[in-house]
Amino acid sequence: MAEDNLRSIEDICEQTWEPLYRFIYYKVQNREEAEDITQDTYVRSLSWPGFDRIRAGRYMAFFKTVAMNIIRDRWRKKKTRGTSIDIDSIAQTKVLSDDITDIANRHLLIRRSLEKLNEDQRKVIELRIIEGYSVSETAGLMGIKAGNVRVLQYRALKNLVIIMNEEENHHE
Amino acid sequence: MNNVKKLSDFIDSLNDEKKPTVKADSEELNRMFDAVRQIKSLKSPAMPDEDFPHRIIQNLTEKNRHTAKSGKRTWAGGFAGIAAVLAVALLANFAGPIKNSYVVYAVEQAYNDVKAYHGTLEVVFSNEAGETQTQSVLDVWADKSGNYYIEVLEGSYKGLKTVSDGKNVWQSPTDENAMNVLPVFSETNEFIFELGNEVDELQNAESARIIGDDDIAGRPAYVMEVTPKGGLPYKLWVDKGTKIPLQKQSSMYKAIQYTTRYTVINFAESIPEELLTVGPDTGFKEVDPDGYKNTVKNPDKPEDITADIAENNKADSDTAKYTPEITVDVDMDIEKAEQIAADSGSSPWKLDPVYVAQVFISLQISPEGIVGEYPIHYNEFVIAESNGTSAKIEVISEKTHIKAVYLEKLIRQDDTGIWTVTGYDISP
Repeated sequence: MAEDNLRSIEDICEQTWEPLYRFIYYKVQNREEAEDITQDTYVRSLSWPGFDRIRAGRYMAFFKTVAMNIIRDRWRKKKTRGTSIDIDSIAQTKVLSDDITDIANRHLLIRRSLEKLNEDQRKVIELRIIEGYSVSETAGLMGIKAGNVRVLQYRALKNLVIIMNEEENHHE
Repeated sequence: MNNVKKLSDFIDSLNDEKKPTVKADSEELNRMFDAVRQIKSLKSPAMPDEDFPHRIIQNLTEKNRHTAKSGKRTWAGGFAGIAAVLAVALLANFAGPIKNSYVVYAVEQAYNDVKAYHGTLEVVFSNEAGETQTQSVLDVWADKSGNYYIEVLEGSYKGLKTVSDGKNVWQSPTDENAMNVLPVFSETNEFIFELGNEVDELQNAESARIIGDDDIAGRPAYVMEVTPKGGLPYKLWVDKGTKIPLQKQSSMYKAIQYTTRYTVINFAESIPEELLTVGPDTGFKEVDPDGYKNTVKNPDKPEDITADIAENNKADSDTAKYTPEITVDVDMDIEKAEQIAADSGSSPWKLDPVYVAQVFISLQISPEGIVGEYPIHYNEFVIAESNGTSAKIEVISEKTHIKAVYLEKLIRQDDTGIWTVTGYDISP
């Protein structure tokens, strides 16, 4: 019986891990945390006594909701061991639907906001965050000191937060 | 650490695909962290290595074993503790519907991605003694619009090609003689083990559960026991990789069992157009899927088209039409077994009343069995009356004293129901 159960779990994981991982990665933007939260999501979801009442077609939406709650909980309570996620309440609430349109709109807003930065600020964000260069590599590419890269990226992001807020308010 | 350094370290962590250890101690910094994540989301995600899904399973399995050995249920925090809880929950909660519903879901999802497929389908008969015989081997192309192309590679109708556009069916016989004796419901006309039908049947089944593992044509497969609503359970082999059904086996009933399997299956965007071409010069002729009379129709010669099926299907309340002079005893157990066999793809001629009448008359003439050609030709039978569930077939031959054969669909009264001889007339 246990073997059958594990085989079923294997099926569920194989079928859902990739979209679930991508969803989580989109939120956390690093592989280590995305892998960890993906595993945690399966453990919490599959061990929840009410899981067998979830229709198979809703598994993915349920996993996404659990993952989102884990992410929120981790970010909120970084110093606390364990979590206080109430999966019963998750199951009763509307689960997340695929939000491809939301993501596309969000990307558009980010790109539009980046365009409003001055050239140096936009460049430092492109090199450091989008291209993933280190501070020293970015300094070399921009012909400035490493310390200036850190200050420049800080100011760039500070401005960007303001611009993104404005963009959001403008389009609401 | 000042916020400038914290922000830079945070960016470094994400660039290294590591979980950031630095904490935002202000709302402003928190928003900046969030902005960094959003900017990074413009890039494709860094995917885990190929082993990741296996690691998930392995972790779950190992924790399960560990807990079973120690007999402890501890909360250590983090993954290990949760897994310990899971191990208990696995046994408590996964014995039932989750397993079943998921497999059905996986098959459904997998089939959703299929546009068309091409495979080699084997139909195998076996008896209680374990003896097996390959009834036919078919080359099959099918898509989700109902189009299919089937060619008999081995079996009674070797070389026969059947094409359907979802509504009409055309066949290309090997030669004209073959066409003349070809029953309307050949083993290729009724498309058995069509994946879409199998998925539907699985979805609507009363229960479906994994009962073991097997290997079909070198592909690892789950063996499922499926109990349809109102039918005998059957086994279905589902490819572990593709989650597509590969083999179906009926229950052994009255010492008969049928197995249909795809020994080869590949998925494609569509069926090659040339295979679905049934124009005037291709040798294909339209066949009547309802199976009455001589239903081979030439699309180029409308005058060749025989009696309209709709006419045959008209409700006919005159039961006298279907009352034979001599009644034939029917063993309903045998008929049920025959219906099951037909459902599995065996004896498809039982779906053609003319063919059933021909076999009946032939056995009256040669009770020891039919060797070679039938003593009375298929074309010497004419449907005199039919309402879809009862039929009277007239025999135009001097080789028998029987003048008409009466048939009924006793088990199931739809297109898939087999015909059974219930009586006959000897008076002219």
